[in-house]
Amino acid sequence: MVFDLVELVNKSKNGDEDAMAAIVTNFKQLIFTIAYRLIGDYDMSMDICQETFIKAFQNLDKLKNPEKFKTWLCSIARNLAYDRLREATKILPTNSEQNPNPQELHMVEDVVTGSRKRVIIQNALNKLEPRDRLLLTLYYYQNFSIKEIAEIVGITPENVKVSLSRARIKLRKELQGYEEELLS
Amino acid sequence: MKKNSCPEIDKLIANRLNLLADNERRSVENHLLDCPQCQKLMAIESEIDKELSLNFDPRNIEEMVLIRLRLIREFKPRQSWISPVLAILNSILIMVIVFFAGILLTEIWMKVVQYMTPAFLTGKSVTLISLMSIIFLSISILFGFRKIGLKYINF
Repeated sequence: MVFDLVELVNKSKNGDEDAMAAIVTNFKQLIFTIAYRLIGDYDMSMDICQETFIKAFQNLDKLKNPEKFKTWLCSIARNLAYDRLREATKILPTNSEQNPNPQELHMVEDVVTGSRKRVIIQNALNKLEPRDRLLLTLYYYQNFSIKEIAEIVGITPENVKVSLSRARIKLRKELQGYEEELLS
Repeated sequence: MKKNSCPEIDKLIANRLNLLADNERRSVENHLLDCPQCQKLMAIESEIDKELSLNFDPRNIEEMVLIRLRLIREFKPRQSWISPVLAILNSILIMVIVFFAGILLTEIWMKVVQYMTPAFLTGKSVTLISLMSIIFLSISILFGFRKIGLKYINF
């Protein structure tokens, strides 16, 4: 990374707003992508994204190792998104008891990019378990090591690849019938 | 239609994720060279991977985050020193109340036992019973006030 994260974190601890803004700029795409992939709702993801940074800045004193800021930030986003999913599951009645999936009830609007493929993929992702969605998002974001992914998802590094493969296979099954649209 | 010799889709996905052993990977890759059906499956997988690799931009949220932080700081008083001070004051108050309540209750209890002590109780047993009652009452009052303290002062 071209910016000095540790320095930015330390400055933010002292209330430096420029440092805070720089942190938001550098991580907003990552946090928003995680939130959007987990929730599948644009407005809610925007809210989670902002909440994540606010919560992080409010609790920066609790972060002992500033080098772990990125994984710590992702864990905050994960927890906020999981909370929203739990709330949504409580509020919205679901047909499937085994795999409650609130997103099925309000299909993802194509507000992010305007691509049909994107909607198909996101709707298939919404049918997976939140943990699988998080795994796939972090893996494909490409800036994470297996150890970091394990830390954020809450599994052992040895389990990451196996879980990832299973999640990817499940996603493929959810996409059956959309092959031609994906290739178009 | 897939041929019988075609690897399972699970294996093709595992290959994309670099999860196969060298010999398996070579076998899958050799097969892919001359199997149009599997090539098509891989093209679909490639599209899925491409979509999953996309990052979304939440636009300019920096200013909004900073404004919200400023508002939170402005309207939420910092309790870093206020809470411990309130807790100490609360404890002192409880101790003072317990002390005076103890004296008062002792006086009342002494009056009660003076008029109601049965003849078989000696002076020592009356003192012991009185002391135990005072300790019990003090603990009850202490816990009662602590509960009140916890409810109204967050410490």
